[in-house]
Amino acid sequence: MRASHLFMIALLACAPAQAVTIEQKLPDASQEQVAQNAIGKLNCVVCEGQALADSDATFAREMRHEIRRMASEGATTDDILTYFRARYGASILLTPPVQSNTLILWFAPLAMVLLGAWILWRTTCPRGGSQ
Amino acid sequence: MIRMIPVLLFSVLAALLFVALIGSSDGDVKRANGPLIDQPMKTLPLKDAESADMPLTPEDLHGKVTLINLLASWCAPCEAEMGELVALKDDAEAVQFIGIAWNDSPITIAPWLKKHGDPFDSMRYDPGGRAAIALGVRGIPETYVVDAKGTIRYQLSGPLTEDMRKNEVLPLLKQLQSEADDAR
Repeated sequence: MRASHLFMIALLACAPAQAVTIEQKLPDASQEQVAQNAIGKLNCVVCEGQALADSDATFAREMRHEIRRMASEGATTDDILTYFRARYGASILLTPPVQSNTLILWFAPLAMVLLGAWILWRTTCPRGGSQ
Repeated sequence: MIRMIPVLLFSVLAALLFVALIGSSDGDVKRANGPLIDQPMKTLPLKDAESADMPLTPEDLHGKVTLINLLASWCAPCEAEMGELVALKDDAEAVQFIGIAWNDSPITIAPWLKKHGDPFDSMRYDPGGRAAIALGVRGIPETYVVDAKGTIRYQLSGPLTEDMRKNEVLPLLKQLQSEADDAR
């Protein structure tokens, strides 16, 4: 075996193991879709900045299991999101709602862009009008 | 002066953004202002030591001031607060203390409680985290105080410290116990 092959094998062996958790899907496709929709809209509460769908933490797995249980009992995506929001607050939602205390989060980026454009205009346009 | 306007505007926006980021974290459970505060305690799906269903129902809480503590024997902060919970129970004997072991088994919890102190009148188990989710738990230990009407009055995320015990939780338990006694 050539040294380059050994090197490639060593590199692959050192690659971080991808945490793959095989979770039991619901037999009813529409209920599984409801669960997937809800899971896709929630944050992981024990892993800062990570989506619930992406987390392999025990508590995140338990939350996904609970969401599937709720979906299997007929809950809609909105029912599930309401349930979790009532317990964890709006911060559990991946997309925070537009409300008085989140307005700045929604519109600050636009304000920053406009401010940047204005600064660019001020610094690049010739002053003094029609000379 | 006009050259300072962009800098000033940027500073104001940055300050507003910072304040909004801090202020919008309403899901961060802090003492006494979690989303479930002042909400009625709903039935919690729990198990007993033999893994049989043993839900904690509003009827279990009716007429009694109750402290609920979520813990696990593998949780170091739980170990750290156990002495405070024992001291709290000593000073508030009339209050019902219920322990909920999250993802832990009676085989490990029993000797662990024997070693670190057992303030609980009743111990129940939450093997799949359903009760923890229903309570809006973000991690353990987590402590709740429920008044005699079944309303959640206090939520503490993290270990109970001596200062919190003396200055927050014990006065609250005494006040709620007094209210419960007056209502009888």
